[in-house]
Amino acid sequence: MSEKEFMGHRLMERRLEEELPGEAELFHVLGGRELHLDEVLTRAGGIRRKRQTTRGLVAAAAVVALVAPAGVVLAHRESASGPAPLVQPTTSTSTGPSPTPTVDPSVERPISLAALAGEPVGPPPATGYVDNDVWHDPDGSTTDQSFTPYGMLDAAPIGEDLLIRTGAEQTGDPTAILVHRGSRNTVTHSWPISGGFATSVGGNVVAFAKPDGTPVVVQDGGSQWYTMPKVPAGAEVAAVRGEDCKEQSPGGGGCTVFLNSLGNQPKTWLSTSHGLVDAASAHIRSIAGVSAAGLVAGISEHHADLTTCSEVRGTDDQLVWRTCDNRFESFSPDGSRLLATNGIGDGLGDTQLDVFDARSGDPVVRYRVADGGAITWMRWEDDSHVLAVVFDQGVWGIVRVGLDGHVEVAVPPVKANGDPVNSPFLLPR
Amino acid sequence: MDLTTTTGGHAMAAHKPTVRADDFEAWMTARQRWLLRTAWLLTGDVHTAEDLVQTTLAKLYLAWDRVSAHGVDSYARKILVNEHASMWRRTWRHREVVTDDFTSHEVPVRDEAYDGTRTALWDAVSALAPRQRAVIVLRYYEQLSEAETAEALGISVGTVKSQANRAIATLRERLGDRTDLVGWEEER
Repeated sequence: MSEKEFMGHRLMERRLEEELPGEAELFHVLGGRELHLDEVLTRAGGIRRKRQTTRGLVAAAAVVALVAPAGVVLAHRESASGPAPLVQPTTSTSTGPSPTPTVDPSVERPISLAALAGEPVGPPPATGYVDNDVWHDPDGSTTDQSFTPYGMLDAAPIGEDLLIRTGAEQTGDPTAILVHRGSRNTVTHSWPISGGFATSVGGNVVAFAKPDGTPVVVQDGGSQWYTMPKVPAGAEVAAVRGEDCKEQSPGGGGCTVFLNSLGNQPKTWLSTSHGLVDAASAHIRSIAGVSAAGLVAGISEHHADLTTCSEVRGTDDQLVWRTCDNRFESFSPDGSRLLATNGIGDGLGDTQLDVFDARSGDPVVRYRVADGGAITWMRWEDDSHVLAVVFDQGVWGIVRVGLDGHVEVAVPPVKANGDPVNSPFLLPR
Repeated sequence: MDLTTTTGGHAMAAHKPTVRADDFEAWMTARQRWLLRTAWLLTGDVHTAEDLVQTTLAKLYLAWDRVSAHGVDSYARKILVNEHASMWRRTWRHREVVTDDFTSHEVPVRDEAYDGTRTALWDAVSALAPRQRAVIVLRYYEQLSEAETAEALGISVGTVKSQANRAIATLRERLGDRTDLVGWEEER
């Protein structure tokens, strides 16, 4: 750089230092205003709710018949093509440590990525996972959506296909797309979507809701999809019970989609392939999961200070147990356990990972992340293991925690790259 | 139903008290004007700046327990610039612009209440690419070092240097050097 260039450069630096403070003051001159705490807390609540609805509200359920009224309406087949491909369950036999039921539930066990450094890394999540808009199957194959404008906000495998929540190419509107796994640019269908996905316990049905309140179920490995009876617009799917939504199936068929209407007056709904639409619970305001035995778990009270109370209810909406210390996440695939986290919806993410006996409410195992850490996503891998996306000391990773008290890394940590809020990892619904 | 007699159930616990809001509000009262000014320089739009700061403060509130023992200002700044980067990155990806020095810029909105006296320098800064503009704001308004700027933006020190040099070269080209040199010489 010549002396003239150097002087010009330095002068520009000085001008910037002198003039930018004056320009900054224009914010107030132009009518800019200061924010009230209430506005900030409202936005925080919105972020918090968004996080809650973009993670494991997956139900674990088998087919439980609902009484159908006479003259029921069959689920409407919206479109279908091709033969039924293979069905791939979302649950699996873990390759991780085998559980022992002798863990002392009064002991809070640590989850620390730092403490796991140098320890053997376990197998990748049997459920698959998302890393920076790329879907990773357990066998190592990938499905890349990182080249698309909105990437992969949510994912749910179905057979050899993958349902992805993303933004519409032109408008950015929330959209569900169905793609073939292991491929690029093979979108076979797309729908507008409100909220996220829910997957049946066997992985044979994935459900979501359109913005107008119409539930959509995708099954038969992604080759067929049906619309279900409509609920109020804006509702989001919380769970789906049943492995086949075709009413005329030889095995009986039939499924139920559970939905949450959020907002100022939260309400829960169920929509069945028999044609029935009804309130799912008079007491639970936001469903987290449903079990094979007919249990429904979710938030019953949401307070202004972000604390919550949650309940498990059984047949006829009868209270089974409740707590204000935890917020429920989902039932284990066999329905015997209930995954839960902090009762207070506060902080960067949750810090507790607790498992309860689903029917008695007795604690089974308790985990806590290290100071400064957070869990931003958790779901069952199988009946004995939970996968959790963890932030700890500037890195993100996926860990596998067992009901036997054993913790191992499932996906090695990566640096947070200056973003302490948004994880590169997602776990499927 | 008597909750305490529910089979295996848990008695309802009292709500956990929280002092988070009080602590947070004290910090917010003291520091939000600074955040708003920086956001305004980054975005050039009053309402976008307010929205950016609202999201920043909300995320800071959610992370309050984890940052209060450390540098809250630097943490808040990092959230702010990352949130801003996400805003323009989404816009960039949406518009499918493929060059680094794209021409899709946030342009200041002139408020009717404003008397119109705005410096040519500010107009030129406003026309910079978002990342270059962020580097300029952090280096010459926030007075951060190159290392601190790199840390806040999540980029390397080398990138900070190159982006700052390119931005200043662009500003000099747009504003002209002659007057500047006279001023510089006079000051010397």
